[in-house]
Amino acid sequence: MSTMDPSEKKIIGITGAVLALFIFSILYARGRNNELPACLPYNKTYLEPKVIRLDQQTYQVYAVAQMWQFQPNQINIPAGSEVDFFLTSKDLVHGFNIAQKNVNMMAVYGNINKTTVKFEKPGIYKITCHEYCGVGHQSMQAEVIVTETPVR
Amino acid sequence: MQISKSLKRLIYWELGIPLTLLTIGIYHGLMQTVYRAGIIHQSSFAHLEYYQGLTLHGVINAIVLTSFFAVAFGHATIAYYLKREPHKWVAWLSFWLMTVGTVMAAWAMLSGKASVLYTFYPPLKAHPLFYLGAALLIVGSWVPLFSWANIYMAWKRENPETKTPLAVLGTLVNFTIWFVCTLAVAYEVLVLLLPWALGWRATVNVTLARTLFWFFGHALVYFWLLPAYTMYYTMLPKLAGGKLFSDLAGRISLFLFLLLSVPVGVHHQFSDPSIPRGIKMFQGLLTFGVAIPSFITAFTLAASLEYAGKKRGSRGLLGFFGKLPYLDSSRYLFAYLICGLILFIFGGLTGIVNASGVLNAVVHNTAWLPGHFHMTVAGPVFLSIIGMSLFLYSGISGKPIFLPRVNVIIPYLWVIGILIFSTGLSWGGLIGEPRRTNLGMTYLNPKNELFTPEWVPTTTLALAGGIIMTFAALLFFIVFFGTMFSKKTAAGKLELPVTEVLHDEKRIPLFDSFKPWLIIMAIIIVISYVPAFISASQNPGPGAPPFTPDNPVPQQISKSNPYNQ
Amino acid sequence: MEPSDKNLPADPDQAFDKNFKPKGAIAFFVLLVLLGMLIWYGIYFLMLERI
Repeated sequence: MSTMDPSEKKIIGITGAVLALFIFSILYARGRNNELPACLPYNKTYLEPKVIRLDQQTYQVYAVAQMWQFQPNQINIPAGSEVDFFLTSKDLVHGFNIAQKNVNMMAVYGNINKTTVKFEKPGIYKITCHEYCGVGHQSMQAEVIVTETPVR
Repeated sequence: MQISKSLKRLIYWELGIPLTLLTIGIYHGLMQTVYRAGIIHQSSFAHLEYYQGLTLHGVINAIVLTSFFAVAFGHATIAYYLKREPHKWVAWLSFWLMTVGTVMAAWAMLSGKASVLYTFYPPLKAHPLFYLGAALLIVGSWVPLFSWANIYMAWKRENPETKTPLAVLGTLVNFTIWFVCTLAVAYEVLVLLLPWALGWRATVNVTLARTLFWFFGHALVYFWLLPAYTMYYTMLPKLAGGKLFSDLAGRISLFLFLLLSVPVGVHHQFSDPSIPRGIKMFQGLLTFGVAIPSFITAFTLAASLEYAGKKRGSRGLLGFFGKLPYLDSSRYLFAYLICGLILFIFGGLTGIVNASGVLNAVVHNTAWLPGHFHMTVAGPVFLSIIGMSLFLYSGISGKPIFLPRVNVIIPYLWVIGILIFSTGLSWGGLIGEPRRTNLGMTYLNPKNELFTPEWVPTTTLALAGGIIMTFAALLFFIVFFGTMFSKKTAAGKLELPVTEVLHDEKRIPLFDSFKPWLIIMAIIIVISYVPAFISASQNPGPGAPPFTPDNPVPQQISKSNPYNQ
Repeated sequence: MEPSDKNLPADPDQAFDKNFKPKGAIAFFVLLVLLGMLIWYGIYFLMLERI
């Protein structure tokens, strides 16, 4: 590339450096609760919606998306809990987005998706479907209710 | 260059049909903003349902308009630079396949039997004619490549020491990318979806279908962009009154796009199940790679514009921006192109955010996404398509531009509209506003329990932007159709602005031949996608039966379906 | 491209071409990259906040 103008080469250098910086920043921020969704083999036990309490601060939610609701629809969790969400769909592709946390997964028929979240602050966290799933798509929202005191 | 009546007529139809359909596409764009701002709280308006309209908007604007234009512009660049017209029967075959396909898909969408959005993700099922129509449109757009490749190879034999004209390289690279990536969606449509939609197969592997779609879907955006890039490298500097800073930069960029447009599709599936993290991260890395040719282009074009500005006597470091022919109505193409570049600054940068692994979780499927892509596909792509369509039509027909002083401000109005619109969407997306959703029914309906007041200002901004964009589009239709109905004042001919080059580096065989790049392209695609296709085929469980948008009960329930109640 | 003959009197266009250095373009590019980093790190810190 000896016939290329030196300023073009400088530009490629700057671009590469900035992209490398971004990559480093992404790797630096990786953590248990901060990963792309995990790849799980299919298992039909995940088709039964449920909330499992492993201990006072550890929960598992088997979330099932369908036209046009999430099950379970209301999830009660004490503040400070870590939750594993397992997600599948009974029909179309649905979205599963908890905007205030970095939870953003697709619910796909025949597939299991998984992510882990820690809910430090009490409040109501909406789970919104953000993938078109038919005529009732705009009504598809559930909640995670994070309370101060432990749920009995 | 004088062209035959046949080629003239072909180009007229290939520009005219999509621009006419665009009126429907723009109407539905406006309607989206009206529904989403909660101006109306209905599932349909004027006999067109929200999601039906959204499907029409995406398919017409992003598939029909872009494909027809790319083909017409391809014919124009090949004919103009290589001085040979495409083979007549090939060109018309392509046209008829594309048109018949479009009519089929349009019928399915307009009759409400294909409200599946332009991504048509299964197990949402459309009418079989939608899939067949889409397949014909795509196959039809492949056909000209064979004629052009044939013409090019003959030209090369006659001109072995001459650099391939950059515009020709752009067209050939673009359609090579297109041919390769559409193989996957053609397979998805013809093998996975059509038999399933016809009831010949009971289930479909949804993850595999999505993976095939996105093999196509990301490269698709380069298919949209590369005609615009071709105009930026080969025409913009001339229109600005300057020279292209580096011809080699253009060639390197095009070949990098050839290598990296396809093997990055999984970055649209970061949130999907059944695809291992390693594959997602690897393709994310390659996506950073495909950002590089755009950065090279940004610099090269800035340098070219600086040359033009300085030539006109600009002073200071950035003074050259002030000495460009923004409002010169006799060079309106400059306005269309520069406005696309202004939008692409924001469109491209937000794209890098989307590709950045866990950052994607903040934005995926929120309103941020349409905020981003209206600054890319509805930015440089759309503006270059309509600007060049007008330019080609006017030149070939010999008709003067109707209302030239209105024409030159259209792109600026469009920019203002998009910036307001995308600000609303991006902001909304960051506070959880979903895309692809009729917000007016629930989230933006004060009487509804799901009412979300935080999304009122964001959707209002999008509405304001949408109204301005629609007004700009309306002016464009007036100018274009006004030109079409004007009287001819000059001999019609095919002319394209041709830029001189400042650093016209001598021919480097590596950057003037396809073979080495095609081989590397194939290798990268195999490394990148074979693991993804294997995962998508093996990891998921049962395939899904078909569903229509209005019914949670699937259309066919097979006995082996574990979801049977 | 005709070979440049340094012994010929420089015609103003050729001199302009020879002396042209894209300093402004480099400045523009740096600003572009800074804007990019602003947007990117904005989202990055939003993401960190939401962990």
